Amino acid sequence: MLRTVIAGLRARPLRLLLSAVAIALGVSFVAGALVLADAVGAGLRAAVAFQTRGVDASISTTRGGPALDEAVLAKVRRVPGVAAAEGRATASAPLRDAAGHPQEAAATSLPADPQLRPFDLAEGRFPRDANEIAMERHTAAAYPLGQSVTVFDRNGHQHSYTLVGTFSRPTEAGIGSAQLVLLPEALRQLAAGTGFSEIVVRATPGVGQSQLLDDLTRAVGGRGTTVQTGRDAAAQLLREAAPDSASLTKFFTAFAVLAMVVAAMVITNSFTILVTQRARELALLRCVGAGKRQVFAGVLAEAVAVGAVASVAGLFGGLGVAAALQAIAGALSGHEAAVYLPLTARTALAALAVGVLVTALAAALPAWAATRVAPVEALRTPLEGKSARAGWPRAVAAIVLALVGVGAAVLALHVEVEHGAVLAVVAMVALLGAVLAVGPLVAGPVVRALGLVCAPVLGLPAKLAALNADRNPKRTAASAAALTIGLAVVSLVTTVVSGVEAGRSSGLDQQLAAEFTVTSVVADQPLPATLADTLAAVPGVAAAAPRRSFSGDLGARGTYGMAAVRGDAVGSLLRPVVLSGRLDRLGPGELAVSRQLAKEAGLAVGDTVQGGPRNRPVPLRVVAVYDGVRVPGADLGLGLVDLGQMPAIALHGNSYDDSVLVKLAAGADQDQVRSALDGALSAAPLAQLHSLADLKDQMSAPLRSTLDLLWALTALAVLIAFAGIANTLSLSVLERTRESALLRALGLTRGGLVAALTAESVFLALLGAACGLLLGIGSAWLITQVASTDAQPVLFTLPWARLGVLLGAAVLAAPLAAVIPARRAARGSLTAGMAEQ
Amino acid sequence: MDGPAAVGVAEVVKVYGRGDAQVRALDHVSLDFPARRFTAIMGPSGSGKSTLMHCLAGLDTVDSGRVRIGRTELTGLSDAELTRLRRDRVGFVFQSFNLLPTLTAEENILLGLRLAGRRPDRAWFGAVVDALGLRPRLRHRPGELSGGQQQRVACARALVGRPDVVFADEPTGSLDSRSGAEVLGFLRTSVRELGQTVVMVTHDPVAASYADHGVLLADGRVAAHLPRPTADAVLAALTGLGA
Repeated sequence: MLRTVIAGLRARPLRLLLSAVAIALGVSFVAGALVLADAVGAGLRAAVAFQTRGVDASISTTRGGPALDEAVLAKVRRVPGVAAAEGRATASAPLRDAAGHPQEAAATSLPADPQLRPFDLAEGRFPRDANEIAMERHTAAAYPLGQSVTVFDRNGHQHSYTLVGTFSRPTEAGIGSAQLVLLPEALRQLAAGTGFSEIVVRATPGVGQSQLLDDLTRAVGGRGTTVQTGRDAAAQLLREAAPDSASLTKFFTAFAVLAMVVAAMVITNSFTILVTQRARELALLRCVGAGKRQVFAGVLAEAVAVGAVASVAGLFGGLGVAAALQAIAGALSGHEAAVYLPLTARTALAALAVGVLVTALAAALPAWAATRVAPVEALRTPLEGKSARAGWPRAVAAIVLALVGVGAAVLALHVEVEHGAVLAVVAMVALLGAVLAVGPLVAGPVVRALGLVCAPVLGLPAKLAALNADRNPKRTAASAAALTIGLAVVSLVTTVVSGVEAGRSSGLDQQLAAEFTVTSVVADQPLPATLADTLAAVPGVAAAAPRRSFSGDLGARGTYGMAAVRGDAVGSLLRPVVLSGRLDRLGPGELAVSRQLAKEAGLAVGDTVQGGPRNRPVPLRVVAVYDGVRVPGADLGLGLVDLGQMPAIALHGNSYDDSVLVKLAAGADQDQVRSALDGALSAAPLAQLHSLADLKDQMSAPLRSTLDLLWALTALAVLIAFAGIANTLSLSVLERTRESALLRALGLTRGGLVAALTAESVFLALLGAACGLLLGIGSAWLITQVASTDAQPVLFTLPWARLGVLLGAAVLAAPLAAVIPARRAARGSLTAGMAEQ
Repeated sequence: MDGPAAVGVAEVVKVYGRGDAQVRALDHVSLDFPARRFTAIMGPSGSGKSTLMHCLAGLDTVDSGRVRIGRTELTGLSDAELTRLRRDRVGFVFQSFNLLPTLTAEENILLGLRLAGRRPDRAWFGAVVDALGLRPRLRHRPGELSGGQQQRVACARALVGRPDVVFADEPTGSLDSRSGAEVLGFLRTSVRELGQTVVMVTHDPVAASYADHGVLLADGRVAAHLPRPTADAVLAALTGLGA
C-alpha cells in the first residue's frame, strides 16, 4: 500500500506541490507571527543586556534615599577587587534645531572605562574635552562630524559643542537611552546638581561576585542603597520595561491565532480538493483488493508526510517573514533596529502542529468519505460529487449563529460598556461563524448574479466563470472565506481606529477652546511665570491661561494626578463634558472631579474633601463631575482645581507639564498670530508651540503606527488568502483539463479561456472581500456604538481611502492569482486534454 | 468519389516522439472527403486514424503536407484563426460525449454558437432537436441524461451551426448497441436528408457499415478504400490487415 501511495505521489507532483505550497505558506504565516511575538521580548532582552554589559555589580538608591555622588564613587573605586567604577547620569538636554526650536533629547556622561560603555563608537571618536559631544547615529543623521551642536540646559541657556563622533546601539527597544554623550565634567556644567542614577562596577579578573558584593555593601551600603549583581540589575531593568512589550507580544500572539485560522482554511481547502480528485483512484484501489483501512491509512500517511515536509519549509519561511517585517519596520521608524529571530519550542511545535494536524484532518475527512462509497459506484460516478451541494444543517447553523450574533449585538447596545464589550465580541464571532456557514449557500447565487452583471461586458467567459464557481459552492466559499477573515479583521480595525481618531479629535475640539498650547520641552521645568501674560499681550490673542499637572493630595481619599488651571479659563478655554454639577468657572475651595475619580473616591457634587497635608487641611467642595480627553498640554487629570489652590494641596509642592492655553480673537489670522507667538516665545527657549492640528497629530501617531503594523501583517494574511485562491483555481484547472480542451475545440480562444478563469478568480475575490468588508464594518459600527461616551466619543466614520485601497487591492490581486492557472489551462494541448479521463 | 471535396489532406506527415521512440502516426497520407457524404476512417488501434482526424479538424498540427477545409488551407493558420475556423465551420462528436456538466442540454447545444457570438437559427435548431428526439430533455443537465441522450446532445451541438464538416471520433464507443444505432442512424440521416458532411473515425465494423465510403488506415498509411462498406467487408479487411 505504501508503495502505491508513493507511486501516486510521484505521478502527480504538480498537485502535490500546490498543496505543499499552501501548507508551507500557512505555516510560515503562523510561525512568522509567533517569531515576531518572541522577537519583541528578545529585542528588549538584548537592549537590557547591552545596557548592562560588562557590569559585575550595580549600586543604586531608592527614591528619597542617599544621593549617589562623586564621594560615593570615589569610595567605590577604592574597594579592593573593583577594576573600574562609573557613575551613570542622564540629564534632559533639548537639542536646538535649525529653526531655533528645542527638540527633546537627553545626554549621558562618557564612562572612562571602555568596557562599561553601553554604546559602541560608529564614526569619529568619543569626546576628549568638555567642548566636544558624540551623538547617537540616527539622531546625528542631520549633523556632519565637526559641526557645532547647540543644546539647552534646564534654564534655557544654550551650550555649544563640536560633534566629534557618533555611536550606535544594537537596538532601541524602548528602554529610553540617551542620544547625546558628553564628558562627565561637561554634563556637570550642563546639568549642575544631577546625581548619579546608578554606579556600575567592573570587577578585576578572579574576584568572585559574592565577594565583590560583600565588599561593596560594607563600603557604601546602608538604608536606601541597593547593591546588586549586574545580572540582578539587568533583571530589574527588564521587569520595569516589560509591560510595554507584553502588550505588543499579546498583539502578535493574537495575530498568530488569526494566522492559524486562515492557514487552516487554506490547507483544508487545498487538501480536500486533492483527495476528492483522487476518489476514483482510491475506488480503483479498493476494486483491486485494498481494504478500507488500507486506503484510509495510505491517504493519511501521505498527508502527514506532505504536511511534515511542507511545515518544516514553512517554519523557515516564517523566520524569513519575521526578518523581513522587522527590517521593514526598522527602515520605516529610522531607529536603530536589529532583526531578532528567536525560534522557541513553542513556535516550532505550534507551526508543525498546524501544518501536520490540519493537513491530516483535511485529508482524513474526504478520504473517509471516499472509503464509505462502494468501489464500483465510485468508479462510475463522475468526479463532480453530489455532496458538493450544501444541506439544511448548514442553513440551520447559519440561522442560529446569525440570531445569536444579532441578539448579542442588540443586547450590547443596551447595557453598560464593560458588559457591552464582551457581548460585542460574542456578536462578532457569531456573525463571522454565520457568514462562514452561510458561504456555501450564497456562493452560488452571488456568483451567478455577478456572472449576469458582467456578461454584457465579458460575454460568455463571464457566464462560464459563474457556472464554474457555482459548480462546487463549498469549495468556492472556502476559497473566499480566508479572504473574508483577513479583510474583516483589517477593515474592522481600520474603521475603529479611524472612529477613535475622529472621536478624539472631536473630543479635543469640545474640551479645548484654544487654538494653541505652549509646553515646556523639559517636563519638570516650569515655563516662565510671566509667559501667559506675555502671550496674552500678542496682537490677535484673546486670552492665554496657564495650566499645570501635579500630584494632588486629597487626604484620606488618596493621591491623584490632577491639573490646575486659572479659574476663569474653565468654561471658556477649557470646557470638558460636564456630567453633573456646573463648571463655568472654578474658584478657591472648589474642586471638579473626573468621572473616574468620582467613582474611585466615591465623590459626588456637593461633597467636601479635606485636601493637603494633615496638619494644614484645606476643605474642597466638589462642584462638578466631568469627563475629559487625555492630551499633552491640555490634560485635565483626575481632578481640576484653580491655579491659586494648587500649592496648598500639591504633594511635595511639585508640579510638572507646565503649559499655556492660547485662544485667538475672533477673525484673527492663525498663521500671522503663530509667527507673532513664535517671536514672543524667544524669551522662553524651552517652550514649544503646538497648534490644535499638531495636538491631534500627536494623539493619533501611536494609533497610526499600530495600524501600519497591523496592515503589514494583514497584508500577509490577504496574500495567503490569494495564494489559496490561486491554488484552488490551479487544482480546478487540472480537474477541468478535458473541459478546457473541449471548449477550445469548440472555438473558445485562448484569450477567452484566460478571461473565464480570471473572471472566476475576480468573482471569488469579490465574494470574499464583500463579506469581509461588510462583516468588518458592521462589527466596527457595533464597537463604536458600545464604546462611545460623551467625553470620549468614538465616531462611526468610514475611512473611505483605506477601505477603497483594500477592496481595490483585492480585486486587482484576483487576476494575478489567476495568471498561472490560466496560462496552464490555455497552453494545454487540445488532443492530449481530450484524451485525459 | 464524386462531388466537390469538403475536406482534404495531401502528403500529410505526423511524427510523435524522437529517436528510438519515434512513431510515424501519419506517413504521407493523401485523402479527399467529398461533401454531403458520410465517410468512415477505419483501422486497428495505432493505425493513425484519430491523429488523422485531429489534423483534419485543426486540433493538432501536421509536420509536413497540407490540410484543407473547403477552400481554406489549415497549415500556416495561427491558433486564433484555427479557433475561429473550428468555431464557424467544424462540428465535433466525441466518444466520451464531452458535454459541459454545468450547462443544460440546450446550453450545450448552443455553446459553439454562443462562443462565436452567432444567433442560432431557431427553425434549424428545432429541426435538429426534433430529429434527435431531444425536445423533452433540453432543460436537463448532462448528469441527468443517459449515455445515448448525451451523445445525441453532442450530435445536435455539432450540427446546429451548419458546419462544413462534422467530425465524429468513435461516436458509439461508449454506447450500448441500441443507442449506438440511433446515433449512427441520425448521422446518416443528417447526410442524406439535411445535406451535411460527416467524417467518422471508428474501429467498429458495424458502425462503419452506416457510412457511404470507408477508408482503411494501417501504420499511418491508407491501406484500402471500401466503397459502400458492409460490416462483413470491413471485418474481412481488418482481419486481412491483422494477418
